[in-house]
Amino acid sequence: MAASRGGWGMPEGDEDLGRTMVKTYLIEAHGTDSDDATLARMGDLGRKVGFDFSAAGEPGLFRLKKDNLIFWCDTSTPRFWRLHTTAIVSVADAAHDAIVSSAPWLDRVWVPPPYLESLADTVGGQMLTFSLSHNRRPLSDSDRPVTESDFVTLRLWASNASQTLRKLRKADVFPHAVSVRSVKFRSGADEPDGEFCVAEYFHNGKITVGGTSFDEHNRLLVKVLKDYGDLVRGFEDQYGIGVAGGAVVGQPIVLDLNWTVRDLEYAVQRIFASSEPFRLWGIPTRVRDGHYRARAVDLHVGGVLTFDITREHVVIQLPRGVCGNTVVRFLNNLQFHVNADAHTATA
Amino acid sequence: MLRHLDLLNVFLALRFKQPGYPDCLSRLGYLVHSIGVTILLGDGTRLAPDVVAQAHNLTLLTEVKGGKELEGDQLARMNRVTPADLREFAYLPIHDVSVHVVHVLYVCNEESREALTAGIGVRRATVAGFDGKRFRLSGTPLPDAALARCLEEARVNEMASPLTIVPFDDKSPEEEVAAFVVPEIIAGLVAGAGTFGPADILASTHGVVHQLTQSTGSGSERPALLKRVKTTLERLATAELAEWIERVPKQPTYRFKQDLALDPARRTRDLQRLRAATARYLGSQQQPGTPVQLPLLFGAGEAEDDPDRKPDLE
Repeated sequence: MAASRGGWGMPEGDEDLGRTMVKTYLIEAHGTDSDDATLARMGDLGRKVGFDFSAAGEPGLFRLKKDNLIFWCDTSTPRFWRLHTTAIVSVADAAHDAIVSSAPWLDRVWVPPPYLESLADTVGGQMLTFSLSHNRRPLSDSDRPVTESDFVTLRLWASNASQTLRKLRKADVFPHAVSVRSVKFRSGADEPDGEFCVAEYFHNGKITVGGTSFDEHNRLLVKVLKDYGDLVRGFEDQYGIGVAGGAVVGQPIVLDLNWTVRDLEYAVQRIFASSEPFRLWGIPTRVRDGHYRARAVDLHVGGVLTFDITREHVVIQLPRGVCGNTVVRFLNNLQFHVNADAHTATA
Repeated sequence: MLRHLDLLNVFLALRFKQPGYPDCLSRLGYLVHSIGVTILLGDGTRLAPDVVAQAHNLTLLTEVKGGKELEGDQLARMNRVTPADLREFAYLPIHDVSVHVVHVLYVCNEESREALTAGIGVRRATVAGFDGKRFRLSGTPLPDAALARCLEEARVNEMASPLTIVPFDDKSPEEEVAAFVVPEIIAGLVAGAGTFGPADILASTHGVVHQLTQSTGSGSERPALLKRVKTTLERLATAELAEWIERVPKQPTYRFKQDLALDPARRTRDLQRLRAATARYLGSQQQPGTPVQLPLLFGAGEAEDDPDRKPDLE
C-alpha cells in the first residue's frame, strides 16, 4: 500500500497546519430562501457572534470580519451557505463552531458517509485519502467489555484509495464500523499546471482545499449542496406529516439498523440526554420491552419530532414544517456511533 | 381493551407505512380528509365522525368506539348524509355525486364488536373489531371489497405501535398530556420565543388535527383539548418548571423567565436540569396501572456529559 501525499505545490507540513489551504464550511441556514431573509439573518448573525458584516460586491456574497479573522460567506445557493476562509484551521474551526451554535436556525451540513464514499467517483475525481471514525462508546455502558469495533479511527493514503476502501468493507475487518469521516480527492485537469483542486470533504460539512482552481472547488460545492438540498427537501416534502390540499400527507421515516450496543435502553437514554453528539432533548419512555418512544426537541433548530426505537428500526415522525436536516444528522450519528450500515428504508 | 385514543391512532396508522403495521388505507389510495371535525349540514344536522377517509367513489365516515354502546341517534344522522352534503358542507372533493357512496365504519375493540353489531341491527354500517393483532369485520359488508380483504388479512406485529398522530385527548392522564406539552415549551426556549400560549402548544402537538380543523370547519374536541393544555401549563408554571416559565398577568399567555445559557457547557446543564424537572413532574403524575411507563432518566447527580467518560472523536 503506497502512501501518496498530494503534490500540488504546498510544502510538506504546511498542509497539516492548514496555513495555505482554503477552508470551506457548508452551513444550513434555515428560513433564508429569499434575499431579504438572508440579509436579515446575516445581520442577526453578525451581532450575535461579534462579526462586522458587509456586502462583498457580488450578489449574495458577504464579508464577515472580526479582528484579523475574515470569512467570505456565499449565500447564492438558497438555504445552504458556503463559508470560506484562509485562517489557520484551529482558529477557523473555533469561529465556525461559534457561528453555527449562535442561532437555532443554523446547522452544519451533515454529508452522509455513503455519499462521501461515492463523491470522488460521482464528480469524476480520484480519491487520494479517506478516514474512518466509528465510536460506540458514547452510547455504550463503559462497564461492559469492548469488542474489536467499539471504536475505529483510521486515516489511509493509498494509490487507489477507493478500491482499498471497498476491500476493507468487503473483508469485514470492522463489522458495521466502516464509517467514512472524510475523503480527499483530486478533481479537474490531470496535468500539474492545469485547472484542478484537491479537496478533503468531512462529514460535518467542512472542506479543506488547495490546488489551482477555485472555480473547480466551487463547482463541486454547488453540486454537493444541490444533492444535499434534494435529500433534505425530500425528507421534508415527501415524509413531513401534516396537511396539504385538505388531506393528511407524509409518511414516517423508517431507518433500518441493527443496534450494535448491548444495552438499548442505556443507548436510548444517552441519545436524548441533550448532549453531544445527538443533541436531542427528550424524555424517552418504554412502550414495552425493546420498544422506546421519545418526543424530542432538536437542540439545533428547536423542531419537535417523535422517535420510536426498536431493535431493528427507528421510526421518525417528522411534522411538516420541521427541518429535514435533523433527520440527516440523526442518521449520520447512528452511522458513526451505532452501525455504519444504518440506512433509510423509505428514502 | 384499547382506549378511544388508541383505537383512533390504530385506524389512522392504516394511512401510513411503518414496519410491522398494515397500511391498508395507504395502499388502497385512501386520503384522510378530517379528524374530529364537526360537519354542519344544511338542515342543521351536526355530526362529528372521528375520521373521514375517501378513495375513488367511497367516503368512509369512521367512528371510533372505546366502549360497547352506540351514541343516541348518531348512526341515523350519519346514515342520512349524502355525497352532495359532503361536497357542499364538508368541502370534500366529490366530482360525481351520482356514483359516490357514503358508508359508516365503526372501529372498536374486538370485545365490543358483537354488541355494537347487534345495536346496529339492519342499519347500514360496518364494524371493525381490533384485538391488538388483527381486525374482524361484521355488520354491513364494506362497499370496498379490497379494503375489507386487506383489513381481514392484516396482521399487526406484536412489537409495532401505531404512530401518535393524535397524541392525547381530553381523557388522557396528565402525564400523557405533559409528555407532549413540555417538549413544545423546550422547543420555544431553544428557538428564543418570547411568549407562548395553550393554543400555540396545541397547534403543534395536534398539528395534523389542527390544520384539518382550520381548513374544513370547527374541531369538535378542540375546546376540551385546549383546557387540558391550559391546566398542564398552569401546573408546570407553579411547580417543576416555575424557575423557567410564568403566566403573563391577566393574559392567557406564558413567558420564559430566563434564557438558556449561551455557554455550551452551561446550556447543556440547563437542558439537563429541565429534563430532570420534567421527569419529576411526569413521575409525580403517574397513576398506578396506567399504560404509560415511567420516563427513562439517569439517576440524580450523574454527569451525563462527562467528556472524559464518553469521548466524541469530532
